[in-house]
Amino acid sequence: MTSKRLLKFIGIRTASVAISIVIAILFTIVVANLGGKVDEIVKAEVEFYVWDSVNRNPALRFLSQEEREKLAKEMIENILRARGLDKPFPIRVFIYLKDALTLNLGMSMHLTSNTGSRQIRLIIAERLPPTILLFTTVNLLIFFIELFMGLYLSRRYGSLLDKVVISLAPLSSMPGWFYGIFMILVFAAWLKLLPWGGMVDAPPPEDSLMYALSVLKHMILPILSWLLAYLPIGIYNTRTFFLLFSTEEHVEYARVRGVPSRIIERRYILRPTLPPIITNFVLILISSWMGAIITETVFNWPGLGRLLYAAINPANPDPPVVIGVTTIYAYLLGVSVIALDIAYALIDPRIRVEGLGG
Amino acid sequence: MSSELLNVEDLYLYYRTSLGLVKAVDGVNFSLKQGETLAIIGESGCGKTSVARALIRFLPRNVARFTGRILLDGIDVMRLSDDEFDKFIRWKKISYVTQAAINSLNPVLKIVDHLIEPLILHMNMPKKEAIELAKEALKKVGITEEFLWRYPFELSGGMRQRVVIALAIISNPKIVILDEPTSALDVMTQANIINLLKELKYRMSLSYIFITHDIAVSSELSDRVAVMYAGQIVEIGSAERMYTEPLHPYSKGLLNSVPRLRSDKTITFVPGSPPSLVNPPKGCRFRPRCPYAKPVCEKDPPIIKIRSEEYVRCWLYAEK
Amino acid sequence: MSQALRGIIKSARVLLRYKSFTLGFVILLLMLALSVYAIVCHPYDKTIKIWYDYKAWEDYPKLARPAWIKFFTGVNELEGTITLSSRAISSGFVKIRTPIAYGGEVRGVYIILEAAFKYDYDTLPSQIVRWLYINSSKPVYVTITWVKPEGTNINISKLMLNQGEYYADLSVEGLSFVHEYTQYIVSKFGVTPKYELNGIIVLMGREDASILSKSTVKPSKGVYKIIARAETADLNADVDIKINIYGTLYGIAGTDEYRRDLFIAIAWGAPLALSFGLVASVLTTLVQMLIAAVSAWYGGIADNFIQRLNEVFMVVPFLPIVALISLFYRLTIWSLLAVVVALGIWGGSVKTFRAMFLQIKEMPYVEAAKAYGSGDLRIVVLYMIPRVIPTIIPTIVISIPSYVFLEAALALLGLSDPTAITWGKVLEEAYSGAAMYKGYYHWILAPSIMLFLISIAFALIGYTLDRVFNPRLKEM
Repeated sequence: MTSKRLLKFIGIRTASVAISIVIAILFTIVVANLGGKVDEIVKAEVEFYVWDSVNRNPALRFLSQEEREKLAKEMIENILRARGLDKPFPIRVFIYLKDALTLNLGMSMHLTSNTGSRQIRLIIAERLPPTILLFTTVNLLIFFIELFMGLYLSRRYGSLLDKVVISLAPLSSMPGWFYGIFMILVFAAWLKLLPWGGMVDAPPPEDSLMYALSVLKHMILPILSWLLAYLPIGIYNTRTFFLLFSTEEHVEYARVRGVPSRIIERRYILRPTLPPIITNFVLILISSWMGAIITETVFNWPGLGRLLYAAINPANPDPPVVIGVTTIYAYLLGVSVIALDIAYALIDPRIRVEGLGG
Repeated sequence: MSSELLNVEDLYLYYRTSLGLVKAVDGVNFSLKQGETLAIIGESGCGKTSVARALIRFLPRNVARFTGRILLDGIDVMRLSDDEFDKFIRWKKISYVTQAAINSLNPVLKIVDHLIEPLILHMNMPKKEAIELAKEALKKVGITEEFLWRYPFELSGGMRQRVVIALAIISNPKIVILDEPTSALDVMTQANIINLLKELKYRMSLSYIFITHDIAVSSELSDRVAVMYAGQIVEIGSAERMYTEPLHPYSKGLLNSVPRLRSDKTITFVPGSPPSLVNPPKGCRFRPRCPYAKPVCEKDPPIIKIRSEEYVRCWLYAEK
Repeated sequence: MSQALRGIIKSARVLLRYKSFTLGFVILLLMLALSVYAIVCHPYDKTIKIWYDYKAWEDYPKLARPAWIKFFTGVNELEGTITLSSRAISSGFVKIRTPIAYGGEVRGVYIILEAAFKYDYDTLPSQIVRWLYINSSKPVYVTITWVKPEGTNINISKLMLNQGEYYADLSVEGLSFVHEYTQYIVSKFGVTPKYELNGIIVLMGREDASILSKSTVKPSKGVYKIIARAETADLNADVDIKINIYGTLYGIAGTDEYRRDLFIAIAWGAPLALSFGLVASVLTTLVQMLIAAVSAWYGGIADNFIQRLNEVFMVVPFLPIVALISLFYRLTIWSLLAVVVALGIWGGSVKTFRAMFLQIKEMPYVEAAKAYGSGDLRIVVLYMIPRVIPTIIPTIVISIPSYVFLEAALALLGLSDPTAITWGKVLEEAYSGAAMYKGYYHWILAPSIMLFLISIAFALIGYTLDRVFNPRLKEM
């Protein structure tokens, strides 16, 4: 009985999120294509490929320049027609959409992976791990610190520590990359203690332990900047949240019954609130994998954000890369939303029994 | 008096707020005998909930004054430290049934977990034994065993109220303080709960302090009634006398404002509204609304003893 | 009306009791003062024109630090520029024309331009640059001699020039006169300097042992003379010269790589940041509220549709889409704002507002309004939204900095309005100019400090508002 409902629920959510993903990617492609830029890029790609193969083909060398041009033009048209690229705008859009949804992300215009490949899939696969490493670490740190501190402070409302933390909340009005600039100025330029940027010393150490330590050393400043930027408000919010929550009836009643505070915190405050807190955290985590573009740029961190920065450089943009990254991100977010909804349904007894109201 | 279980003397509870000093409990005296039900009635804001909270020492952070003597079985409970109170009194001798029990249960804990918690925490009982006691407690309040394994939201409002009562009696206390236990319930359920309470009192030799603004409900259950006004008890007496012959003008007004089914008495009500506890009027606090006010009422009225354990705080009876 | 005014005054009095609010308010007033200054003293159109006209800043030093630093370093540095121009009315060159005659005929003209300046500063200038303006139909032979206070004569130039404008940077290494002078030093002291001399050191370095090491080089204090001699066969020829000796300090905020007075950018950043942040924050919140209110009130299909729409847009990644739009379409700062609002309204806030409105919908006074026939839109706009406004005012104020930083971030990425003079733009230019690595900290710090101040100001004000007016917190 319950599992049937659960399956139905999973089905509906998956369908709904899937539609969102499709529409989101469609939207991206339409935006990118309204200026006709992507078409130009694709056409240029095809033309280059054709010309290249025509000029290299020894069998065609005896043809005159004119004849070669005619042949090339024919080949280009054939290819474009085969890929459906001579069709009107809406159809082209759907072809790109299909490509994107099947993760056939194509080639970049000029950006390459470390191995020299222009395949967008490879480039992204190369850039994703550093971003995940850095931002998962940062977000986990922030999550646990703010949870712990928030709980701790909610018990000490009005204390000196509480007042100090509240007064520090305005520090969060500035983003992590902004603090990053100052961190570099202080620790790298002035004190010369920590590296200016990058992920690892150059040249990278051969020994894997030294390599790992080097990476850790390079992670210190970015992590510090984000802690400074996002911890104050994080702690403020969790503290306020727990404070208000602890005036809930069942928490007060537990206190009347003499339940010790440790247990109240764990059973009466954390357990009911954990599902939405964790949901929130996972969503924040996933969106941080977009690789905070400017933070990665400021610290020259070789991740997804830095890739995007290079791809949106107005002097030399690489739109296929942008579309590719956007697609990957849409998928990541969509999948995690579904996973979270399912997890939520499994944990929260109310949903398990009653089913989602809507 | 040897059969006196609880003796409250000169209880004061003040809160510090941004509006000033709130004198919620301003010199309250009463006693409770073994097996007795004392009802404390009054309008909202008269301080009755504060009295209840004072007795179970559930105080907010902004307490400005908390003095007095609370003698339970001869021991002055006020002298105990918080730890000692938690260890010896809280939920062992005195327990508390809260207002709006509907929300008082933890939504992610099963009923059984609620019930065994005080046993495991306070009495170090092994879990199996605790579960057995939990089953018994549920039976006593008239809920079948299967609900032990359910979550609060799966129970109706009345059932949740019963669970809260079960929680209150599971550790075999002597006194149960009930703070508006039936206010959030419909009339039918109300009646059921009152009956349950009566039965429990008899079976387990409990004593109740029953706080309510619903005079009709309190009349069902109470042996003695105390009327509170503006932080003070203005009259206390046997239920029988109070409902037929209230002495204090406020009590009269309160009890006369309840429509009676089989009587033609005209309904009156007390005009005006209760004073703020921040700056109660000098002298008799009821003077501004009292139809019998005299010039002498500008002075604090004395406590006139009527019988043992019965008194009234009013100048009208001072001559006697 | 006066009721509302009295309410505001009462609130203001309460708020001013908090130190945090007063501090934030003072900073805000400072920003407003800067904005007024910018708008009044440097009207936008004119300022934009000269901001991108590099010639307009010719006489300003490059990458000069703020002038007030001298109070902290105690070192007397050249502030601004010593401009010696024969075309200027005062403090320039003295021009003497002498006809060249022999054989009884006037064959040409001899033009001598002489100037002198006093240099009393403790540090060398940042740059020395010269322009020659030749107006002649025949070639002109020009020599320029530079005389140091010690009396050393240095032949800077020996040129044959036609009609035109000639620019030379005398500060660099490798010039011929630098070479000659180095030889002179070697012969004078018998020691070769341990580094490669450049033009500034040659022309203005003190000629003692201190010149032998780069770390000990000092300027020669005293009176300098510059003599330019031009001779040409064209009798009507005219020759002008301008020499700029650029200092290392300037103004309140220093200058950037393009010699522009950074204070103008600092001043103009204020009104732009204020208006962008305020408008974006208010607009976004209002639209969010409207959407949420409509969704909550009408319910049913409309509600469902709006919720799904919200979910779709939540999946769309904000920054890349804005980047794409900016890449492919020209954006001005206001069209950027429109895009930011259009994409930024979607998200969790709509859900939160919707929950609030669902509660308000059940309230008796709303039901009453419906009962006596109030129109739907009227109810939404006049009854529901105003109820929520007091609670969201702190949120609006607190979010303003994030929009200011969003614009700065977009500017850093090169996606914002390329002509707008915002703090973000200055940061972007500082970054492109590698200011951090090259040590031009004032260039980075000037916009950064302004961004910092404006965020702190709004954050302080917002959090105080929250503390004072948030009903839920009041219950504590």
